[in-house]
Amino acid sequence: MGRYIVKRVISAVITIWFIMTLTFILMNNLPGDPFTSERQQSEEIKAAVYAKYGLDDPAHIRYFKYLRNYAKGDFGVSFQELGMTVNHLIKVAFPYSMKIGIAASILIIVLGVILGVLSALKQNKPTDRIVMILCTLGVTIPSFVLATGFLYFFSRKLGWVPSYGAGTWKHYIGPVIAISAFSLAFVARLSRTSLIEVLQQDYIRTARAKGLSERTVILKHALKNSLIPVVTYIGPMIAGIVTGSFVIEKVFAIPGMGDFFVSSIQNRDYTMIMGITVFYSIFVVIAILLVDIIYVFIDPRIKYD
Amino acid sequence: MTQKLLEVKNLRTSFFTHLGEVKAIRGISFHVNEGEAIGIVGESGSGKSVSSLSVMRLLQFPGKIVGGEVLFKGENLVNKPKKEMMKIRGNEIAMIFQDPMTSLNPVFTVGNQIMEVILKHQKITKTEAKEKAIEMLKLVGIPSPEKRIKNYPHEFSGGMRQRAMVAIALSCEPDLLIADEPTTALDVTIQAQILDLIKGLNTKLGTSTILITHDLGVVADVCSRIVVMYGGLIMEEGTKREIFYEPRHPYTMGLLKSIPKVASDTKTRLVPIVGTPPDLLKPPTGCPFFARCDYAMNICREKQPPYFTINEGHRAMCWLLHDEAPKNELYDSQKGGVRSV
Amino acid sequence: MDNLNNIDPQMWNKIDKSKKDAEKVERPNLTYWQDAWRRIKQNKVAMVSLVVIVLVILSAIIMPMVWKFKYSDQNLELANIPRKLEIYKLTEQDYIYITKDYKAIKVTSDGNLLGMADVINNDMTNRKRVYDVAGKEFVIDYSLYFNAKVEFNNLSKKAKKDPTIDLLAAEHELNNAKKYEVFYDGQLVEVSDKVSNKTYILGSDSLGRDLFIRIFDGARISLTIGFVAAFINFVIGILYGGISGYFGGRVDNIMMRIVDVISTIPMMLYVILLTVVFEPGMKSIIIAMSITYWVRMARIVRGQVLSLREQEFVLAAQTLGASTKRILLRHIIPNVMGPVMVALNMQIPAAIFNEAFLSFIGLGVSAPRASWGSLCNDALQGLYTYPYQLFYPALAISITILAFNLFGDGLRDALDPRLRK
Repeated sequence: MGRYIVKRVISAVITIWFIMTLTFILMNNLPGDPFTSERQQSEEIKAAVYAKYGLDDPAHIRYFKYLRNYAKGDFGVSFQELGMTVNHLIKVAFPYSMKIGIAASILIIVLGVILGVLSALKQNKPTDRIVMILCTLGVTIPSFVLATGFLYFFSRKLGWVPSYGAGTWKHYIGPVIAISAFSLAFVARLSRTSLIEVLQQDYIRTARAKGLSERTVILKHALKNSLIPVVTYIGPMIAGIVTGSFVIEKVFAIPGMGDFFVSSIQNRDYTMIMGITVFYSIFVVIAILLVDIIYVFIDPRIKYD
Repeated sequence: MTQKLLEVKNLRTSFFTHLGEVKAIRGISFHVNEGEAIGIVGESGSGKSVSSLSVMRLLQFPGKIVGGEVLFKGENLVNKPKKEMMKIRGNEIAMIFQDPMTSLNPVFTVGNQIMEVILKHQKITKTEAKEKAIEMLKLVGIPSPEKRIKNYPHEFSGGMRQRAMVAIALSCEPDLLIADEPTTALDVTIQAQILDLIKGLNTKLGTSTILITHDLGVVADVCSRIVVMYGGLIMEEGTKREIFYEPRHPYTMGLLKSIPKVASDTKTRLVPIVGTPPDLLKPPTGCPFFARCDYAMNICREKQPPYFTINEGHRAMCWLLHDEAPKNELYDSQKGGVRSV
Repeated sequence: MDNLNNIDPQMWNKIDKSKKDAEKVERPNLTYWQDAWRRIKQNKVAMVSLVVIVLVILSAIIMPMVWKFKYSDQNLELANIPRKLEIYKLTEQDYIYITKDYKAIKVTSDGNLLGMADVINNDMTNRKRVYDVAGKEFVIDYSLYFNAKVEFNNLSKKAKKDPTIDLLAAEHELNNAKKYEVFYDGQLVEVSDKVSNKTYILGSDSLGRDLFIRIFDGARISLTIGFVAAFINFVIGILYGGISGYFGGRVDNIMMRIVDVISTIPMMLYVILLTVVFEPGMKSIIIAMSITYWVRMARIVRGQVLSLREQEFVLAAQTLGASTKRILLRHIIPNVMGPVMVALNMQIPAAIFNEAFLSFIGLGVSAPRASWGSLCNDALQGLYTYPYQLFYPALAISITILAFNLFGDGLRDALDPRLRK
């Protein structure tokens, strides 16, 4: 087990290095210098950015400078707004995104598994049909459509929830639903298929032959096995929530990190784009690493692979 | 002494698939006496595994018992409430399955899986259950069981897993053990060990045993009585001696000819039974074996033969045993079973 | 057993061989693809989806060639006009539709748009607009909404101090209140009829362009991106996975480690970054998605090839002296096609989805062209006032993705060898 974790950590470190190098190469190949663009910056910002990134230096020196800065936890500055840094955003805006992300993750996993299990146990009955139709719709409707639809009906037409901002818990209902829908539907489908498959396994027959109640057979023997594929989906799910937050925060006008990211894209604030991208990537890689470690406790076979 | 522990009467089981009703068992009757080991033999699709699952009431959708009785200690299991069935399963009737690789749950320790059945059926503490589990593993011949109960199934070899399955099956001292092809998935040397184990438990503990297999060689070693199944019906039933040395059904004869004999000094050829078993979606009206039978007569196609009793306890379903049936020399020459070849 | 003793002597004769054989059930021998096609034909949902997909593709090709408008044709006078028009009958010939920003548009009684009415006076202080219709004055008085809005603004200021005020309800009330009154020749007029917009059958956008044709033109872009990106993914994936699986051993090990690393990266971020670097547009979206989303395909192909490699028929080909290239082309690739087809079919809607996403955050094709995603993005500004501008493109995306998904499910069921009977 220890060996497995060490291996996973090393692989995560390599991935992060790969990501950073890739990002550097991409940004280094931007058409022209960011400052030659038509967007105007003050001399002060220009000076600050030049100092930070050493834009006059040769590429390899800049590369090491960049790695050193990020290793120290400094994700860079904006070159369009004085004093704006990625670290500041992480402190101010990221908590909003995190709140939505955590609520969405819980909703996706808990409700997704419950719906999937329910569906699998009632296979081909009306409950199953309805859940599966909803799931098909869930993976069909883009999250921004769901978000705008939600706003239009629940906020504009019915007036149940506020339309924008992030003040009360009511503000989070729409964003969490819109951001979860796709993954929720996916998890429900995944756990349904997986449970149906597990229920046909020989060891389930063994469990029944032991005289265990149907409850024990399903909740103990079948569920843990059927959760294995769901756990492997948590990584992509986190990545999905991160990217989903870009559009959701934009639609609901939540002052989260995703919203700032989209504005940086629209303003072509290259240093911000780079900083946020690297931050998000590292965040996702670490989250996946944690999931991989949790995985060991669910599937004992992994230790010896 | 000859108390009947289990008696199956005219049992019929079907699978209701989208193509139609597959009649997997079409009325079978047999019994197991207390302390006795019987063998059910037949090729795949003959209905032997389905009959064991029917006895345990473990058929999964779309399988269903459509008729007959399963009397266990005089009580009919077919219409027993689920709750009571749960008390019998694993406790009074236990089962070992074919593939030990897949029959244990990969995400729980072996100890956990043995203790689970003990805790389910006996009122004892966890510590006692653990001791019992260790004891069971020792009984089935697993070295250093104290350490082994903490292992997961994937840390066991195939033979050890099947031993663990036997340990689970026997941990509540059942009255009846059903072993469904317990050795098919194992290496030959391990096969012998597992069979010895089952045989030893049958003689030592007096556990009645039903050994289901496609391999006549396996039952020869363990069982005193043999039931031969084909096409969802019992073709022939008799003592081990009768089946091996006085077979009366052409199918039994075919089975005997298709097993290799190590001890044989003459050079004999293995003779396969040509053809495939009948499609039970549309079971034949006559004898299920007629299409593959060397002696098939017109009547075999038209009418299902009745059972003809040869001796007390030895019966076969074949028209050749009818008084009016013409003499068939080839058939008569096969009546000596394995000795005649 | 009733008549066990009265058996026809005929019955004891040996049976004919032909009768014996008649009992054997013959199932027709179908090839893998024949069997798959037979099964997918039986799947109604999948067939309907296939028809929908074909229709969407055909209309995307044909519609822009035959329709009365081009995607770029604009008429600012007729901006933001919906599909259903509430019209006021003023005289026998004169009908008026009033837009959400209080413009009077002349229409025919059956819903053809004629253009804006002549403005006499735009009185900003009294919130009144006066038009000339058939020589008489037509007045739109929108002070109603303006006053309600002022009231609401005062209330929201108060609400900052007094938390008991239910601002949410007040806002809701404001949004659903009557917004204006209309007078013709001094008389109050009410809506007389509701007709379909004959000029723009799905309405017009904020620049007065026909939404209908923009959706079909958008289909061209979205589908092109979907198909091309999926196809390039497919080629890269099949090459990478095929090489990795075929050579196995160290090559496979290294190639799969690389895939492991790539697969943990949140790809969408890099698609965004690539699109930024390449300057937004159709080409950069395709390039960005092509070089990022092939990993799944590569894994599937590699897994299939690895298991096939060990099988007898490949071994047999090798023993017969077939070259590596030949084995790969003639033996392995045809066999991995099943799972690959399913994955490919799922890749297309995923690419459409991602394109919509990129366009929605402002990285789409540049105006005046629009994909489904950028149509949605454009509509976001006026969501509350002109929800139809978002609805139709969103519907187009959803129907297309749904059709691909359902067809993909059917395809998977049909190609799954475990289901073969």
